[in-house]
Amino acid sequence: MSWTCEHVEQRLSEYLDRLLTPAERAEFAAHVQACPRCRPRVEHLGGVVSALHRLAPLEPPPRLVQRILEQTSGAEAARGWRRRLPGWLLPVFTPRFAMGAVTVMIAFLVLSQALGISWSQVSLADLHPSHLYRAADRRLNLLYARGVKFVNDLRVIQELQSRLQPATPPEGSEPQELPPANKQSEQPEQRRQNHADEILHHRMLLAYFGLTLQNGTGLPPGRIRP
Amino acid sequence: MEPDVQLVQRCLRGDGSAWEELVRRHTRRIYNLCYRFTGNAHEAEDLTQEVFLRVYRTLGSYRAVHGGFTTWIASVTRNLLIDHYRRSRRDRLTDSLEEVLPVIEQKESSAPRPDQSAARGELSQQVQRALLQLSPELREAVVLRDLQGLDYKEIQEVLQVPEGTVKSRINRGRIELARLLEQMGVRPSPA
Repeated sequence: MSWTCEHVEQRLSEYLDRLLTPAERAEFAAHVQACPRCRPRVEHLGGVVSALHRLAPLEPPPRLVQRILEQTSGAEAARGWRRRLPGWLLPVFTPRFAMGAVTVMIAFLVLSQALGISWSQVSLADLHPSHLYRAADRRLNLLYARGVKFVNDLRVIQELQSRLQPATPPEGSEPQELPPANKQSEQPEQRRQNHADEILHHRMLLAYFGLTLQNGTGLPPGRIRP
Repeated sequence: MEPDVQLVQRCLRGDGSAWEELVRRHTRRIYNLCYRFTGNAHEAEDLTQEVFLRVYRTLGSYRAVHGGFTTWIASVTRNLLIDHYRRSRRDRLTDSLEEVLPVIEQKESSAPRPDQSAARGELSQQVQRALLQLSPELREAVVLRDLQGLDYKEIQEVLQVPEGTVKSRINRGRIELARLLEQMGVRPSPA
């Protein structure tokens, strides 16, 4: 049986890939040699297939292998120790949780610093409930004593001020008009009195603050004698 | 060079270096397959990563008795490429006619005239343009046979179609590609 143009077209690739039997190959070649239509087509297709085989493979981007490894075994290796953790613990090892924990720790330290807690002196026994109660009670008493001292100090200052201030004339009474001669004679006397009052004022203040400094317990100095 | 089958066995035992060797050995081949099918470097890169991610997860299902590792990884790639093609075709179909028309006109006008093509680009780019005009069935057959170097039996395993269909697709794909290249003025001489 001699091959037609249709036969040749259907078996073209098998001819090029050397998959035809010797008999088929001979029939194929005989037709192509004699056919002016098939010959250039076979030659062109042969050229195209050879060109495809000669094409150099494209180079992938250099970072591609690294990205693949990071995406697969790299990611697996990175969370290797985490795989051993129970599932409910995994959210703990997230950046958000770590940030929250650090913030709470900083707030706690600032608060403890403000309350005067010295962490270097803290021992396990300090955490006993009775110890905590006594510490809280002591701190409350201290706060109360400081408050009492502050109120007493205010009271003393008010007392001092009331003593030092000269008696104000009653409202409505007009000051007496003295004759010029008497005015001049009384001015030095009044100046001396004012000077004495000033000295007394300074002495009382000094005495008060001296007592306050000596009295380390923070208790009020009591009555002050001029 | 250590055979792929042994590298796979080492991978399954948790040997990271064996996996790295497999990736380095096959990345270029898979990238080329993806690029020749899609014609887009970024898509090819993403698809290559996707292929290896899937291979990494399903490596335990590879059985050497069913064929070579190259054929198996080509099958994984081909399935992903077909999924990708269907997805992108669906996206194209949902585009409005106004958006599609200018693209068609641009494509027609950008086709090089025969007298210009020889000087314009390399053969590789011309082949790529012609490949993209083939139907996906013919394109994958030609790429697997002539650019990936798989034989007919291996292509049959990858495509999961009868031997006659493989032969027919390869032949029709080549004839169509040769016709398109001839239209572009490309007439490579047989070596």
